[in-house]
Order: sequence, then C-alpha cells, then structure tokens
Amino acid sequence: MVSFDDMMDLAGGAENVVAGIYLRIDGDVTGSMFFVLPVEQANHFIQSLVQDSSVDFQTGEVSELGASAMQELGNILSGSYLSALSDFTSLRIYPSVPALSVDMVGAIVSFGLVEVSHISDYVIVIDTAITEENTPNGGSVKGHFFLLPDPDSFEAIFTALGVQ
Amino acid sequence: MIGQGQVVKVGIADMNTAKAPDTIRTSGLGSCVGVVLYDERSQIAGLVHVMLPDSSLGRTETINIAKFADTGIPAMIEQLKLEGVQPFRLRAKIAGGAQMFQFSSGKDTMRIGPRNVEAVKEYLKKFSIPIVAEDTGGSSGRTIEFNPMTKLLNIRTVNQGVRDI
Repeated sequence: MVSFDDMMDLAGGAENVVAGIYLRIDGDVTGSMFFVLPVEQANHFIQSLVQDSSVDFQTGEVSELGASAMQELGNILSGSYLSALSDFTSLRIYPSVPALSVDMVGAIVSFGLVEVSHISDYVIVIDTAITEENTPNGGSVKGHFFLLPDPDSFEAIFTALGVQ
Repeated sequence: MIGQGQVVKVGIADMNTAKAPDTIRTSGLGSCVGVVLYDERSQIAGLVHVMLPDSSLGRTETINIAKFADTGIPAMIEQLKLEGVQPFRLRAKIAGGAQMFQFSSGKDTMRIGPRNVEAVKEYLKKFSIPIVAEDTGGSSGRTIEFNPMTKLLNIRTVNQGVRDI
C-alpha cells in the first residue's frame, strides 16, 4: 500500500523513460496492469527479437514489426503473470488487449491510477521485478509488473490471498 | 543574471507555491494537467497537479483538494491570496491532459486527459483568470517547470524535445 508518489519512485522516478504495456483486467477482479521496461532494455530485447538493429524506442523510430513485437512481449509476460496469479488465488482473471506507450513512467502509470484515485490517495501495488542473467553489461533486466486492483476488488484479492 | 534558486517539487495530486528565484516543477504529467497560476508583479507562482476533473467523482468523505480541478484551483487562489497576491492579477499557463494510450473503446476513463483540460479551463474562466499559454492534449508525457522570474513555463517531452511557453 503506497502513495502515488512512492509508486513512481518504485518505477525509477516519474521522469524515467520506459516502454510501458498497459492492460485492463476483468473477471473476479478488475483493475489495471502495467509492465514497464527501461527503454534501453526494450531496445535490446526487440532488436534481437526482430533482428533489426535500427529499432530505437527512444527516438520513436520503431517499425510496425518492432512495436508489435514489444506489445506481444508484454502480452506474453503479463499473460503468464496473470495465469500464475489466477492459479494461485483461484480467481478468474481476463486480460484485455495490451496497449503500448513509450514515455515517462509517471505519465504512463498515472493513467492506471485514474480509476483508483476516485476513491483513494493510496494504491495497492503488487510489484514484481524480472531479472535475467548474462545480459551484455552484466546487469539484469529490470522490468516491473504493477498490478493495480480497482478499489471494489480489494476485498476479493485480500480474501483470495488469505489476508483478513 | 538569473539567480540560482531551489526547485520546488510538486507531486501527483499535489500543489505548492514558489517565489523567485526559486522555480516550481512537476514531473511526468500524462492525463493529469499542471496548472500554473502566477502574478505578473510579485514573482510568485502556484502549481497544482490536477488528476481528475470534478470532486463529485470522488467517492470518499475526505478528499485531497489538489487532486480535482474544481477544488484545486480555488484552493490555490486562496493560498496565493494569503501570500499577498491580488486575485485579479493572476494569469494561468497550463500543460498536460495527454492521452497516453489509444483505445477503440469509448469508455469515459479513456479520455480523462481531455476531460481534465476542459474542467481546468472551465474553472479558470469561472474565476476570470486568463490563460496566457497552453500545451495540452497529444499523446506525450510532460515534465513542466515554471520560473516566476521570467514567467516562462518550460516543457520537456520525451519525443518532442524541450520548449518554453
């Protein structure tokens, strides 16, 4: 449970540039979900995925194939994340078609806060970092999932997780 | 010479004021709207980071007044008055209200950016505060910084560079 500003800090500060995939979730729990990836790493992934080194999300010079590959990457990762969550909680969760935007993380993520902000100044963030070994600069892939359940779904999630 | 002031930071659904040589800034505006109110003479400025158009959308008893256009703008005018600003000398510059994701569905939350801009303009008009400059809409996030000395609003975007309005 964090404030809006703290959530931006989790993602590396409001101005940090990221490739963000947004999807709505529906079913027993409704809410928003984001998968954010620092723009350098999005470039690295997609360049090797589509075998095109000219893909650059930073400058916006992204071929249709590159953008589509990024959406698909987000779709697959968030899809598997949601199926795992669904198996774990026995909740029915259906993701919508993903949308992609490359911009400041504050601008991207605040969009998902709109629904929550009607009610509260705090959000429940389920933040999951993914890491990969053997990346070029020895670093890890710092992708983040943010799951922002709508306030009406808090109870369903808590009950399923066994929190009273 | 431009003095080296501090940068006053305003968070999301937050507001504050700054006096020259300090500047005031808010980062990562997406569908939110940054409303700068300033006084030509006293080099003082206020910034509200508006997230939603109308406090009647809020479903709680206590609200964060800076979050909504209809409560944040009057609250900022009051605060500036307390700091000695004459309300009739106030001018506004606004930025933000982008649509970050393109969807086919016409659901209301999807066009929150344009709705925020409309609401901000409506309330500024209600308090007879002229909008001197604006940079709204589009699909880019913005970081804005206002300098009460030069009265310029610096807008930084990821894909469209930096400009002053």
